[in-house]
Amino acid sequence: MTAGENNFLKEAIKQGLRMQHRFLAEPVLARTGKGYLKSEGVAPLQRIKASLKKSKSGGHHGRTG
Amino acid sequence: MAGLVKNWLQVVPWEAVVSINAALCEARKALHKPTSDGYAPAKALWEKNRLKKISLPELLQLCFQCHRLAPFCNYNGNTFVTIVKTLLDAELKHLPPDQSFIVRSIAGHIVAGTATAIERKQLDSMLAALKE
Repeated sequence: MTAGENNFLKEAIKQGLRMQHRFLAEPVLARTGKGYLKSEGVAPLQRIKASLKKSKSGGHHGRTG
Repeated sequence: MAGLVKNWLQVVPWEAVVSINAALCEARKALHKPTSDGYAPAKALWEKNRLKKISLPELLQLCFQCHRLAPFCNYNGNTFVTIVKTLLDAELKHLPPDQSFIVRSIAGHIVAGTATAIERKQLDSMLAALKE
């Protein structure tokens, strides 16, 4: 494998392990035609938006002129 | 956004797909084994498209098809969703984090086979906006 392929592989395994709790092991889509993925809800998006808001307001206060 | 048509899978040879599945199965002590009916067609489909320039919707469709073919006994969904999300991580770095999160999330739902019509429409309009 090339360096790029190896880097991708490492990142993908990290990503996959992080969200493994959201999947079922068995091949649900192949058997039923409908997949399965446990929802992570709106919390992650809310966290991102809150941090964006915080960094924007932080930047504003940090200006002097 | 010209980057949405590219040879997305250049860095993902089939051996990497197999290694990802092996790692995910090992973590949960699940059997990592090719299936008798799905492995060969999924591998052929992957290899046929691996070096082609394809659009993001085509990439999602390809990963969905491979997921549906179920090349492995376990964790097919996580294997192909992970591939798409990791590829998009690098590609969408320049986008605001909330937009990037939404695109990656919907892309994951499409590959997992759980996307709603509303999500598909939302992705289409986000991709159209990115092209402008």
